[in-house]
Amino acid sequence: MPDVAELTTHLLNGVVLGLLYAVIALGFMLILGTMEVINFSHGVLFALGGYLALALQPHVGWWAALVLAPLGVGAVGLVLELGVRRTYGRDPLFGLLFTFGAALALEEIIRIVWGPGGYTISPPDFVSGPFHLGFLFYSKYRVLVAVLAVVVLALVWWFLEKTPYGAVVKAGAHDGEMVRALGINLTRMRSLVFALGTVMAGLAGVIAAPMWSLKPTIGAEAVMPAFIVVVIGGIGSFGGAVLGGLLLGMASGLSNLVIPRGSILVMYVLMAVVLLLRPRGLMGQKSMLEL
Amino acid sequence: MTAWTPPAMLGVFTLFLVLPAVLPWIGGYTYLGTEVMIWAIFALGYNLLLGYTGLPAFGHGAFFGMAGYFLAVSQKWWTGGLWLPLLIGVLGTALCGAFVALFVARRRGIYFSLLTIAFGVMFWFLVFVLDTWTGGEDGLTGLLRPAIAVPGLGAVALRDNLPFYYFVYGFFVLSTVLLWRIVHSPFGQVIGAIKQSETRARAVGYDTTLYKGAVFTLSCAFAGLAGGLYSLARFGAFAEPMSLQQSGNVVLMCLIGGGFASFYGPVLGVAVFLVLRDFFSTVTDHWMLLYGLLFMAIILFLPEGILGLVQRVRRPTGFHDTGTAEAARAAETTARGSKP
Amino acid sequence: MAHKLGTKRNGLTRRQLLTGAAAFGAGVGLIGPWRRARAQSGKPILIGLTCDASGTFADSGQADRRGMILAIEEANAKGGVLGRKVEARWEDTETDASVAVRKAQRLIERDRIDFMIGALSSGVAAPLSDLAQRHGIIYFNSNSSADTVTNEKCHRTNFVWDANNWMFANALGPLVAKNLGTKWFILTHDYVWGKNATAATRENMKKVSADELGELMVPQGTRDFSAQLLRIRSAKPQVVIANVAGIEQTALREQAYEFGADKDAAWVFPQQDFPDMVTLGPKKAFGYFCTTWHYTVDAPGSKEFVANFRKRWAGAPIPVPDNVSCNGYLAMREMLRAIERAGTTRNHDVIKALEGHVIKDTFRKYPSTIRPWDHLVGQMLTLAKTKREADMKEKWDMIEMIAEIPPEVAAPPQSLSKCKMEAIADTPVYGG
Repeated sequence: MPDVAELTTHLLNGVVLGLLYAVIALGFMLILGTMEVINFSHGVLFALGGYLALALQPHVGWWAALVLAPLGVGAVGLVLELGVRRTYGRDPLFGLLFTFGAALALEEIIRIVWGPGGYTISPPDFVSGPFHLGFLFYSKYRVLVAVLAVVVLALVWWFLEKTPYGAVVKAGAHDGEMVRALGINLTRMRSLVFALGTVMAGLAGVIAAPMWSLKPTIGAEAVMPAFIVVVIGGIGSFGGAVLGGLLLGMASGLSNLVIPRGSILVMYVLMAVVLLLRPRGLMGQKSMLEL
Repeated sequence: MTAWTPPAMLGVFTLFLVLPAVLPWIGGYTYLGTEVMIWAIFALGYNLLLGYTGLPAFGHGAFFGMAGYFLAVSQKWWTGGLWLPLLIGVLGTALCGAFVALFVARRRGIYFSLLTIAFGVMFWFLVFVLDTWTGGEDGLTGLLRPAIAVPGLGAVALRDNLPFYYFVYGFFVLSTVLLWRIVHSPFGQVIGAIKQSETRARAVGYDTTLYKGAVFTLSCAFAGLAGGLYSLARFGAFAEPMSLQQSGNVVLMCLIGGGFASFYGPVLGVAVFLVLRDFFSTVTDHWMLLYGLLFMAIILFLPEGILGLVQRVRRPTGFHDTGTAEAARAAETTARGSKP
Repeated sequence: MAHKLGTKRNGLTRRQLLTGAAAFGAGVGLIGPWRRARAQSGKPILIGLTCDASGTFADSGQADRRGMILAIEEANAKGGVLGRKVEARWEDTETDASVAVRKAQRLIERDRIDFMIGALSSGVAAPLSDLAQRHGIIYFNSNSSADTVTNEKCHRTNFVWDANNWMFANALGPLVAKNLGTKWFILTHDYVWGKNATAATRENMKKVSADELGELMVPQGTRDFSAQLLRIRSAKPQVVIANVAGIEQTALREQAYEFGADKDAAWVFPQQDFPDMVTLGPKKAFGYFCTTWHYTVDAPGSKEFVANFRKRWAGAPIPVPDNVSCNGYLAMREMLRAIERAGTTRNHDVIKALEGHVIKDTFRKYPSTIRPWDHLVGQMLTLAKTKREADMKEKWDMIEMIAEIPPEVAAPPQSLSKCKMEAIADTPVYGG
């Protein structure tokens, strides 16, 4: 019989997981919403973020790596976009397949550079270990994860809602021609959005690495929740990504309590239910993707 | 009226008929040929969905894989034998396909892809959750290839590679002819019209959701046949082909060969893919890098695939098979003509 | 929109068909030149290595392979086997049963290997041994601890070189009960291997009168162990038996360490391969486990073996031999010796040369025996634990051996065996 401590732990885990999923999904959705590309390499870029952090940490420390590693991933994203851009406007299958191929190639490159084995990353010392809160032990690091995730989400929200460039990005998703007509360099904007999306993937990877440890294959595990969050939350909605992420995280965390086996399937059941009731996702807006 | 087996098809059949004799001379081996035919059945059926209807399903590996489990479970614990499990494999997979179609047939484009991915991965996880039946990671091994009664030859043992090759060959011929007929039937014309423009097809009076659901289920049935044969080939059912990564294989096969451009594209694509995979992995440990790069290169430079390049038909926008453009017009004419 | 009626709808033009066939032929023909033509006399003995280079067991798979290659090179340096050079053909089985079957098929059919060796995952070992038996090719499972391959799924052509779940559970049980406590909590990795391991644990618990305070499943893909760790903390067992492998084990250890749960009880990991310990480092690789060997063991031949290995594999990720590479080495070496003893590569004769054979130079205290009734190599086991960092002489010196269990005690008795092997006469002839 689960007691209060266990229940609380699972709930907290669900929240932390959910926030992390939201960050992963948001980056994925930015690319999907703006360029209508299903970026399959999102997962492996997540992994790459973790690996780059692993490589940088001994030299520049944990915090600097937290900033630099995602930027490194963003650079890779920029290069990737050079290829992806040739699939814009076509059947979405092509963007998906291109990034699928990129995901395979990148995963193998990770394997070549860092080997097929696993690595563990330690969190920075000041958040290492558990903290006591009466009956509860909780991992300090996870609290940091939640905090960082919230900060990132807030920053992105601010960018999209409160800056003129963000408005352009949102506009670009709906009307590329108009954006161009306004004199904005659509190509450059798309590059930057793609890079931003990949930066977020990499950042999530750096944050998650001490929790989940690193192996070349963790990318595949990170990309599936991103799909589901986007489907649940709705394409093109910031709020949808966050809500979807939290829902998914909570569902996963709570089902761990009740039916640990099925916690992965719960994600899919949730997705199927949402789709049946609200085909566009909980907060989805009509987008060009519906044609 | 198109023939049942056009000359090109007969050519392909003859090629595969004599392949086992030729293969050892060119560094191949019979089992490779068997694999090519099995995947060709899968890919041809899948191309019905991808190339002919324009529905980018991306989780079809799940159906290919589950068929093996249906067959294995039937053979081990229910009916035994060969034909019945094979049939159960096809039917079970088609049923699951119909189930998924309920969700996905209403969609197209990205949503369609996303959903098929999600369902594909869901089935993959199911295999591990139900590991008392499926053997989980270990797979379900210990399958048999019982001898079959062939009129005129008596009992033919299928245990060895060569007789099994020809067993699969029979299905390959059957499936190819069947799919050809489907593509050139009124049904085939409608799905071509849907690919051209679903709105238009609907406007003309077709229940596109129904057709899309039917095509999806059909493609799953063929995947079921191929998957069942595959599990017989390996004496076991495994989850590997069901993973997301592996589901991408059949898509790549169709693309490389030119599934958007030609009926035979998938067959060529399967052959090229499997041969390359064999070749790459002997040359280097890191063949996945080459594989990924190949994927990207095909999308960028050769989205029409080999046969598309060979045909050299120029496409105004998107990827329309001129054949299906004709079909769309024909479908409209038929619909118009049938109205009082 | 006008559409060009360029091509025939109903099929390829002849040009296209020819081009297609040419492309096909060219593709397949690419393999041609790479297939070696074999001289009729003195042709090398080909051994197929089915080792993982990717997937969960990638590290261990490579360690396994390093041991095998060393054995092959040593044999060749002495003039080969039966006067013939020994060559290896390696395929990456990707820790995946399906891939393994496909590649093994290729090794047998295309490369025409004479013998096969490898496999870490039980999922790979079982179907490959089925495949090997169908062809008659002798297969050594160098490092898989599946119980099934020496019981229900045993085969005349299959020989198993690592200890299995039963052995680990039974070796550990008495020692753990005596030294660490009898109140146990079990963590079970929720898949076939994990469940088998826990079944073996439970069977053993009855013998040593240990109490099960509780069990929690660890589903595959679990990254979050706070629930399990919390439950353990409240149950207050003396011992935690963690039948968890792979990346889940790594994550479990990380979090146990993070939560301070590694101090809550004595943690026992019945299955522990050295390459995984290296990944974790001494602090996180806490706990007790059972192993077959480590390079710090002092026994006849051991130092020489270690020196040779270190020289040969100086730049490798793990440049010292460990339990995995030692198994790989011994298995390979004994295969070659058996061929030599039989005087032929004919499988029936080699099998007879293997069954019942006693291996004296195992680099440890007790010799091992290849048992004829289930083809399990009965060997000694050692209870061990991770050294404290302060006691380590070098990075690889992570293991402290605590107690030995001789082979007669460690290996399952014949009375428990569920193995019904095919008769030699019913096994297809291969080689020779």
